[in-house]
Amino acid sequence: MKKLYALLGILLIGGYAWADWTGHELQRPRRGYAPQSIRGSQSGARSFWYTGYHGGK
Amino acid sequence: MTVANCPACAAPIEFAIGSSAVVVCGYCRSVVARSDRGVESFGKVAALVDTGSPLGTGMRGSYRNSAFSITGRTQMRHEAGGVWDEWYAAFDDGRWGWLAEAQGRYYVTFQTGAQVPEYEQLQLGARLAEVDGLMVSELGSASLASAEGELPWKPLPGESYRYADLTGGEQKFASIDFSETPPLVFKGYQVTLSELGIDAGAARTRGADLVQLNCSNCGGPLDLRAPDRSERIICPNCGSAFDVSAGKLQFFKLLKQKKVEPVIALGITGTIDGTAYVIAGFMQRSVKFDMTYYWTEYLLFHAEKGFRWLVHSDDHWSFVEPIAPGEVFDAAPLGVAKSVGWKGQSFRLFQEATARVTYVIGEFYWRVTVGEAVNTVDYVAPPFGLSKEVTGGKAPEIAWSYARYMQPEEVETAFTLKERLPRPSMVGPMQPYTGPKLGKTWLFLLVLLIAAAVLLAVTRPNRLILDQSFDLAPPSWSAATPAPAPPSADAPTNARIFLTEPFELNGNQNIRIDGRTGLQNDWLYVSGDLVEERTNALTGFEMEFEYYSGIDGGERWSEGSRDETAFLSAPPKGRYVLRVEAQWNPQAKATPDLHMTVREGVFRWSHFILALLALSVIPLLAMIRQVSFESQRWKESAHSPFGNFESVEDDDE
Repeated sequence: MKKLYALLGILLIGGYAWADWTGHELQRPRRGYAPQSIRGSQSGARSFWYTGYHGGK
Repeated sequence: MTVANCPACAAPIEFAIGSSAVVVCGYCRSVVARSDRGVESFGKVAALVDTGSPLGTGMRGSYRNSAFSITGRTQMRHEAGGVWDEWYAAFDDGRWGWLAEAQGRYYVTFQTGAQVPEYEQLQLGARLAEVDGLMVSELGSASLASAEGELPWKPLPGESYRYADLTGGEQKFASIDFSETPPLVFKGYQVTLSELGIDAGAARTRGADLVQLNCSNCGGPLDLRAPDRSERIICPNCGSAFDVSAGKLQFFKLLKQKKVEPVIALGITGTIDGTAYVIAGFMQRSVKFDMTYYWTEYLLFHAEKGFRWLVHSDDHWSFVEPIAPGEVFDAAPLGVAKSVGWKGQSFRLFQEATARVTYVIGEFYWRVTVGEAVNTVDYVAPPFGLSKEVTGGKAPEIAWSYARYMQPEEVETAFTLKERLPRPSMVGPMQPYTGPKLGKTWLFLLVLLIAAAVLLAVTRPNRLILDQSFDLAPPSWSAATPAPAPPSADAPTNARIFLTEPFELNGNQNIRIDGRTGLQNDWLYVSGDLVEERTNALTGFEMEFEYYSGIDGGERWSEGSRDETAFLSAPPKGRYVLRVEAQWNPQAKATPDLHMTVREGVFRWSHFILALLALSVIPLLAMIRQVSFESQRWKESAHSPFGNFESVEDDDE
């Protein structure tokens, strides 16, 4: 049991070190491709990805 | 050498050692002393009791590189019955040594000039600074039963004297003889025959012969396996108890006892720790708390090693051997200490009680009887235990024994039992926890994890890529900066979108984005994207700022946060812009502010914490299991570290 746990622990630490070194995050962010035109809407209110947040009390 | 004739029988006697005081005539057993007038008789001693000792007069040995000859012995009778031998060794360097023998143990002592208190001032359990701090383990009186050979003092037949035996660590032993004033002090060590240069195998075999007798009450067979050591034998058939003297039986009384069947029969031989022991006796004992608890004990005998015990309680087994009381560090020799130490190991108090003999059969080295009671204190350090028994009366004594837990399988193998012994259903006081103990491995892995984290923390560049404030107020258009085309009709008016100047990312390192706003009692929502200029591939994140505060009932309160952080997995190396889309409360009194920073290659504490938690799950489960096991162990103890002692009465309620 001790050996198995030690092996698992070393694998875990190795995985942690590798993930942190290569900049991996646990959360999966939303990904996609932005339309070329968005860079032309510098001052506008046009949202291509508006999720409709209605926060507040 | 002086040769003379016995004044009583005229047989030739010989003083071979210049310093010897008397010779016991080998023919008539007269104690003959030499004086200026020749030789003088001081009366006769009784015939020697055959103790089956492997030692004998004329034998040679050596102790700590000094050779000696055994020239004589006295046989002493304990006031509680029983005889032991004290052999007198004349060393070649002119010294006299005393070689005492009792219960298969040997003690070499030499007389010293130490000054000690009188017998009445000695207390059982006290340590005497005058005798190297040794502990008074036994106080009693003995009488001279017999003698033989040459002796350095004049033994008077029937003479009795008081004595104190002292023990200590490193096998130290001392005996104080109160027959003279001031008392004589003898100091030395417990030794083995091999330490005396005596080949136990070549020495006279003791106790090897089985003496078969018959019970005078029922006629059943009585086997004496240690005839020279046994003081009492109880008939397994009818319960008649006999005193044993030199292999002869004298009826004592018929014991009224309820029959208990031993799991292992008397006379069976078992090998424990490489030594073959025969089961000589069997007894049941009990202690009474709120109810009476019973257990059984098997007296084991080996001709050289003496007596040991095999204890059976609630289907748990342990092998018990006596140890020198002075070796035990006990803060309350006559009381109950919370813990005691022995050979560097600490033992915790488990229970104290008065143990009574409720059933007994077979032979014993003391005059045991049903109803005999002794105060016991048990300590545990699984898989080991220590037990103290304090006997009062005329010959008070402290006895300690050391126990080792035995798995039932080990007992089955030792005694080659055909039937499988029952397995325990409860945790025993000395039962070792056999589950995984991962504490040390966990500590090792923790150190490894911390080392990895430190290495990561110091090597992360934590590079500041962007540090920018965003003005969310509506822009003021001018001729130089004309208004863009009007937005669509359904576009919200409380939102703005920004694109930062392009920046370079090295890639393969995570991204940390921090947002900060000064809003008060309001909210701000930010949806952001890290957009690669070349491919327009984006990675998005969101931040929800809410901050409310006020005073309620005279107390200031606040909730929410003005700071938010988002992390993104390492994007590929390249040129990026940050697109920020902010939305706020349309009824807000003022447009909120927003400040954002972007860093590349930052250390993640949360990953370290997660790894630590993952690493600790299995040890935590193992620890819970062990704590549960220990809790069960201490359930029957009044001194549980868990404080969960429950009497059976409580259980019944």
